This record gives sequence, structure tokens and C-alpha cells, in this order.
Amino acid sequence: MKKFGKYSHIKRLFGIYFGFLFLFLILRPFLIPKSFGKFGHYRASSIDENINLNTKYADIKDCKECHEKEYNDVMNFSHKNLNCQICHGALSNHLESPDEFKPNIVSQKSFCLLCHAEIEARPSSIKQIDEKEHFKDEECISCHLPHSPNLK
Amino acid sequence: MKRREFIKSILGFFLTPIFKNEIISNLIISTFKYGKNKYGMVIDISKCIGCGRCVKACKEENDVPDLPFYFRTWIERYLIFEDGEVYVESPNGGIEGFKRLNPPKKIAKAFFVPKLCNQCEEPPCVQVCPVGATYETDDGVVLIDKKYCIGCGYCVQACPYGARYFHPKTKTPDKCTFCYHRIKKGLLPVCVLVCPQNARIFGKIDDPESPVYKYIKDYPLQVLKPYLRTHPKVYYKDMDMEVR
Repeated sequence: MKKFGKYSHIKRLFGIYFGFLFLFLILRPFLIPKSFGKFGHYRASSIDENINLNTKYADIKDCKECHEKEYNDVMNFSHKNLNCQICHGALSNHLESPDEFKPNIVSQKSFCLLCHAEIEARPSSIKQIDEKEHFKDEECISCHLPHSPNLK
Repeated sequence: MKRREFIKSILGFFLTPIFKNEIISNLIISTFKYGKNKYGMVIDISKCIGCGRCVKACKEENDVPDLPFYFRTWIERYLIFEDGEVYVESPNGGIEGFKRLNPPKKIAKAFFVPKLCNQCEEPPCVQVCPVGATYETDDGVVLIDKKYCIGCGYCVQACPYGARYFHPKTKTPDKCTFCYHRIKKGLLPVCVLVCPQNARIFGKIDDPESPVYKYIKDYPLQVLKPYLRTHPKVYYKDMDMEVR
């Protein structure tokens, strides 16, 4: 008795092959994300996801509305190029709810020395002090105000 | 003239220009590839004072983990001694500033080099991504699709500038995006915003109004690793040849 035909193994192989091909074609549209390939080989909606992240640093002009005196102080002295947020930290929170989030107030000597310590590689265009000689036991703010850093 | 010489000179006459041209075209490394409407950054090395405020602000803005020390942007200090030895350091990426070293040898020159993702025009990281989770947008910024990323980390290895790191919380790579969420809302990238010396200049490369356009026009600029032909869009002014 002939159980299998001459080409039955090939027919079975084709059956399996087309079965998987059929499954693949059915599942493919569900597995590819919707916006994939709109602009290129990536998900186009990922651009929007990147754009919609929260900003934490605010624009410098925003500070002027409430803190006009401080703003003008800074603008008249050598720190005028500095953004408020360099020393006071990210301020977007503070803009939204000024009472809940307070800006950092830095008065430590170590913070001033980040820019004004005399170290190798620092260009001479910026004022520098030798921290071991220049009033080494005094705090910077006892003589210099950060907003108007000329002598008090 | 013998026949052999005659044939040689004829062949030489026709073939040398071809080979010469080929050699020359291999030597010319076009560094600038001006795309239309693309963002770029110029870093003025002579202005950088190494205060590390850009590193601090970047970490705050983009939720970069403080520890272990990962960075989207960092500052390196190069000390070149008179005997030609080069010492490069970046203590914690420069986030706490730099200390006085007082090295025993005399320093010939020294400078700070801020580094970040170079936003290449031909990004190697995009090439190697197996799923299309990192890509270059129309305005020339290389972004990461963190939802679609499978976290294989090929792109971290492929980046010749070491700009990518593996974020321990999201379990995906992360890198500088020129603060894409800020520039698209009309704000400056946060490192540009907080730089006290305006050592970083940001804008569209081909927009005559943008400061980057003026810098590219007015000053000779360099890019990092031009021989890789990745065509970075972060340009360095006054860069020493020791910088890699």
C-alpha cells in the first residue's frame, strides 16, 4: 500500500511555508507602529514625543517682570552677560507657582570660585583670584555683591 | 625611441591624470556639509572658562542621572607640557569645576574643550540601529525613540565621539538632542543659555540671521575627527590639533 505520494514531502513543506507567510502578512500591519516610515525609517510620532518633554529652564526676560531691581542691578555690572539661572537654578517651576518653588540662593565661596579661581587653562579674559591668598578666610559676599560685583 | 618606451609614455600620458585625481580626491576631506534649514552649534574654545555650568544645567534639564557619572555634555581640560606630553582630564565631567593642579612640568598651553553629541550628517549611530529607533530629523538633529528602542546598545559603541550613554532608568541609550524640546519652542538649548562667556553659539546653519551662520562665515572652524566623514554640525573655533 502506498502511504505517501512521490512529492508529498514537498507539498507539505510548501504548505508550512505558505502558512507562515500568510500569518506574517496578517500580523505585519498590526506589529508595525502607525507612523513608522512617514518621514523615514523611524516612528514619526517619536519626534512629537521628544518635543513635548517639559522645559525646566525659563527665558531670562521672564525674570524682569517681578524682579526689576535685581535685573537692572545685574545689567549695569560685569555680570550682565549672565543668565539668572546660572546661579539660581532652573526657574520654570518658580514662574508657574512663585510661592511654592523658591530659587536657589548661593552664597558659598566655592560657587564663586567655579569661575573666578585661578587655575590652569582658564583664559585671562576673566577676573581670577588665588584662593589661598586673596582674603582666604573671608566669604566673597562680605565684600562683593553677586548682582553688582564691584566692591561694596 | 624604442617601442616599449613609446607605449609607456603614451599610457603614462593618459593614465596619470586619472590616478592623480583619485589620489587627490581621497585626500580632500570635506568637513562642512551644509544642509538646508539645519541646526548647528559653534563652540569657541578660547572663551570657555571651565566653570561646568553647562554640564550642571544639562543634567537638570534633561534628567541625566547624577551618579554614576553620565553626561550629555561634558568639559575636558587639555594641558600640553613643554616636552610635548599631553594631559587630558575631565573630573566628573567638570560639573564641580576644575582644581588647580600645579604640575611639576612647565605648561606650554592649556585650554578647555566642551564636548557633546556632534549631530553628524552621516551618523554612525543611526546606521547601526537594527530597529530604526534612532534617526535624523529634517532639521538635522539626531534623536532617540525611547519607546521603540530595544536597548541593544550598538549605537553606544558606534559613536566615535563617545556621546551616548546607557540610561540606567529608561534602559535605553540617551544623548544630547540640542534640547530638541526647547529649540522647537523657540528657546535656546540650556547649555547655550547658561554659558556665562557665550562660548557656545547656537542656531540654524544656513539662516543669515543666526549667529552660527555669522561664525561659519567669519572664522575658520574645525570639527572633531574629520577623517571619519561623519560631517558633524558642532564646529569648534580655535581648536588645537591635540584635541581628539
